[in-house]
Amino acid sequence: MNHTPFIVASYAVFAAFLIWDFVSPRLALRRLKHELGARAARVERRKNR
Amino acid sequence: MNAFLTWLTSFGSPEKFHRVALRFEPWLLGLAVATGVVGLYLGLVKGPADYLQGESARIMYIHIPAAWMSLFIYGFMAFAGFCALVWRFKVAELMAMAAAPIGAGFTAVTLITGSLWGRPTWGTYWVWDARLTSELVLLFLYFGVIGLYNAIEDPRKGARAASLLALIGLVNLPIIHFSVNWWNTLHQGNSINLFAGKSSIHPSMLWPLILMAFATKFWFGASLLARTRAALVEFESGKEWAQAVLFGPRRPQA
Repeated sequence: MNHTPFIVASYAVFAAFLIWDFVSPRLALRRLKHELGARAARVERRKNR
Repeated sequence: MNAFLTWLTSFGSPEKFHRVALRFEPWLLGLAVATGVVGLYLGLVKGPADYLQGESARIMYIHIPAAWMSLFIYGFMAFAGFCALVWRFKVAELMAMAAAPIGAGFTAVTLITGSLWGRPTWGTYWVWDARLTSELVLLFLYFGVIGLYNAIEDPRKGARAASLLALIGLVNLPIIHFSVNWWNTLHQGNSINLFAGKSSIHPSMLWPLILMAFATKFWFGASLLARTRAALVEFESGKEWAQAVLFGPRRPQA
């Protein structure tokens, strides 16, 4: 039996997990920054109306 | 105990915690990458294939450290949850909840890589033996903690409820660890015992494993700090320090 596909798949799963784990808190901060910026812009627009 | 509590409470200030976490995070990440690269090189390139299992045994360099992490992170989550329940530290609540998705990820990696290792070794991807089933229960416990935290609208109440569930789930950890001794399982018994010095594994395979164990620990440290920082900034987004973190000196005026 050829073991290579099982080894490659295992390391690919591990790499995918590491990428997700690295990216998700950074994306959460970016989303929060975008949301707060948009909210501040909305309040500013309402004030200037 | 008092000195420990004093040290612990000094990190109770979200702003101070954020500052310290930001300083340590790149170091932990750097150590994780360095030890991981060396560990994988020794395991995949320099290390021999197993005399019985052949090349598929190379999966162990991620499967075993991931399995160790799944237990370690659960223990950490329960400890942080205990601190959150007893001393009501906001940072401890957020750390416990930040650890849950990382632990769930490592548990999922353990189950998937174990399954991929099982197919060429045992001839099947899955059997309902004690080790595999108790590890699957651990994944469901992580999902339960994450689900309970997100189901309750008040995040502080949600974190405390989820912490209680994490503490109850602690009972599963000795079951996972001793399952191969207590029951007749298809999963092999423990071949590594670092503390008693009775490992039956060859040093050419043991050292890459130890390095990978350190790499995953450092990775967890860096990831935990990043996730706790993000949660803290979100939780305190109305405060001046969190606005400064997000927008710098040119923050939007609402």
